[in-house]
Amino acid sequence: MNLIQEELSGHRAKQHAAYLTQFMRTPASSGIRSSLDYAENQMRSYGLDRVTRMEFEIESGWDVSDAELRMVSPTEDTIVSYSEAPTCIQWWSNGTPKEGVTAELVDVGSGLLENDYGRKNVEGKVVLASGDGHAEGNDHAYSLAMRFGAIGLVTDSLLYPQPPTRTRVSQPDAVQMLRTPKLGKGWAFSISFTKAQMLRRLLEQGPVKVWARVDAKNYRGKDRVLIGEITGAEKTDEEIWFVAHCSGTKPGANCAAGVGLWLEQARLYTHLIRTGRIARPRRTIRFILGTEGLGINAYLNHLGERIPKVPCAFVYCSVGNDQEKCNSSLVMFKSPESIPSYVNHICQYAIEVASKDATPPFKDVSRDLSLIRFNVAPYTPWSDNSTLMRFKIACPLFMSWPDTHFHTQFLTADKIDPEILARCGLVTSSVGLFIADAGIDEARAMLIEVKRREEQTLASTTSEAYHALMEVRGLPVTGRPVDSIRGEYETRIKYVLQRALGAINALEGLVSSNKELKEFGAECGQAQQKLIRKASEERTLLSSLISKRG
Amino acid sequence: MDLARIIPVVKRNERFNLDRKSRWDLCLKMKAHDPNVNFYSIRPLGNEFANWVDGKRSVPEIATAVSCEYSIKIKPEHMMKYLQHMKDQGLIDF
Repeated sequence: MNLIQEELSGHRAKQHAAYLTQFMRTPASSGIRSSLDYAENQMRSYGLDRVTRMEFEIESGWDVSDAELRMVSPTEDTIVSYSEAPTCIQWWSNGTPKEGVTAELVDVGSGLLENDYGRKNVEGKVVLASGDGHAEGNDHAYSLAMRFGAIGLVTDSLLYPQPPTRTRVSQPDAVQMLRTPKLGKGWAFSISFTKAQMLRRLLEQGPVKVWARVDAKNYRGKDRVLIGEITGAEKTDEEIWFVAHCSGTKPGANCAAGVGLWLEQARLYTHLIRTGRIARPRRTIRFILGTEGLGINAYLNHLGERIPKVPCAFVYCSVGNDQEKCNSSLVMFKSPESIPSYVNHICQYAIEVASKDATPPFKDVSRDLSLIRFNVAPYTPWSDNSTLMRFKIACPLFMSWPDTHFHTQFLTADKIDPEILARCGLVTSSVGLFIADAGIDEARAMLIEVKRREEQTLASTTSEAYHALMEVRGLPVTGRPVDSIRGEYETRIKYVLQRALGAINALEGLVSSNKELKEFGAECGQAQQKLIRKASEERTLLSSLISKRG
Repeated sequence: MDLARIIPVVKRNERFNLDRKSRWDLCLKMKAHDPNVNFYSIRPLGNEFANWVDGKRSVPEIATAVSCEYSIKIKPEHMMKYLQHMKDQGLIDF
């Protein structure tokens, strides 16, 4: 970890990310091509063993050059423009005629109910809808607007509100990036709350007309996946993957940060190997970059039956958010627990070891206190991890959340903090390399860690049960609350045990020779037996606590 | 219906998401059982419902596993509604 900490540059990662924020990086667009070209040039300059690209056709290519929405009566005012807020034009909007279109604006409230439209004639008009703060709500409002004959949608919906820092009122000028359903027939603008409220006030007084011009196109196009490889020294049929996405809005510094770290990590590993500071790892390390979702899906489909054994894929999204400016935390969203793996345990360990920023008042050397927030949460399908999980590839996702400026025009490169990139990179680079190079010694170290963590979780489960029992003090000893607590926590103990046994079984996959497998298999068996005994002890303790509780 | 006897199997491994209305319907039912559930809970929970399907585990076993993973109370019958949508799409069978 020390070597990686010395060599990995958060500043370099930020420079890459900042460069990408100049492009609107939509699928099969000129912007994403420029971004991928940039990434490919960087990868080639690092001297990886192989850098390749894979092209594939997609139905949903979309590119935008310009867009503007203006009020033309009762007064003239610019509502929003692509040059000021590139997030304003919703992805997959169709273009207007070059001279633009002028139409009456109709306030349809939330725009989520058929009644919002049925009571008003929106045929040939533009609707103003507040939405519900959900991307799916925006899809729905757009679909309803088109069904009732509107030519366009204007909304001030803000996704993922997080009071008090991210609400429509606290972020009045934020313009949310949104997407229309693919291949719709109209167009849609996102606007600020400030402008939307102004329009609503005017609409209460009389008709309002707007002029819109959208220079955008939908097309069947070619998308691309960029693949970099550091070939393993021994087990070339086993691979550790690092997956990021080049797609994103403009500026979209959050997604761009993932690419920045991805590039810096490729440079770091290659540099360390070429300078002899680390040995070439046993397993191949593969870097995969494309359009979020589409790219990894195309790559996996391309591999088909040839998908190698992938013990772990690290997925990057917004790994560089400035925690103060974005009111954010780094989060590792765990690999789904439906896939037996040790990677969550090892990443959690690495996060704890890496989170050493400041000394306590009574020490001069040990940085025991963490100043950078780095949380761990269960799996969530936010990025390419939702595709990888379907292929049973363990896939922790690293990103920042919450995010005051999420997918708005304010998520610019100045919201990226090199320290955060470096922290995330320290964890993922260390764990990735450790697993890539794992033999019996590394597997043994991971076994100790998995066992320790799961023993702790088993003990914590009983402790939580005790607190739950305290909550129902005064209620009858037997009966629903107590029985329910017993049932719930016994189930949890059983679940944790199964998860632990599965993780240990997965560790055995890191050892290959028969001799080592026999030796390590016996150690794994012993660890599993200890965990089974620990679970039994905790169940006994739980029963005892329940009987003593009265 | 005895859900403990229902053991779903995968027919086609494809991406699946509930439509907005079905998602809201399921969200509200699940929220009545555990207030922590929201609209955005359905996707991760649903992904895991589907990913635990292996032709061996029963519906209550999977519901319990996902419930433990997320510390969210999940009734097997709620999960069954999700699986029924998947079955209707030909992605799983039971």
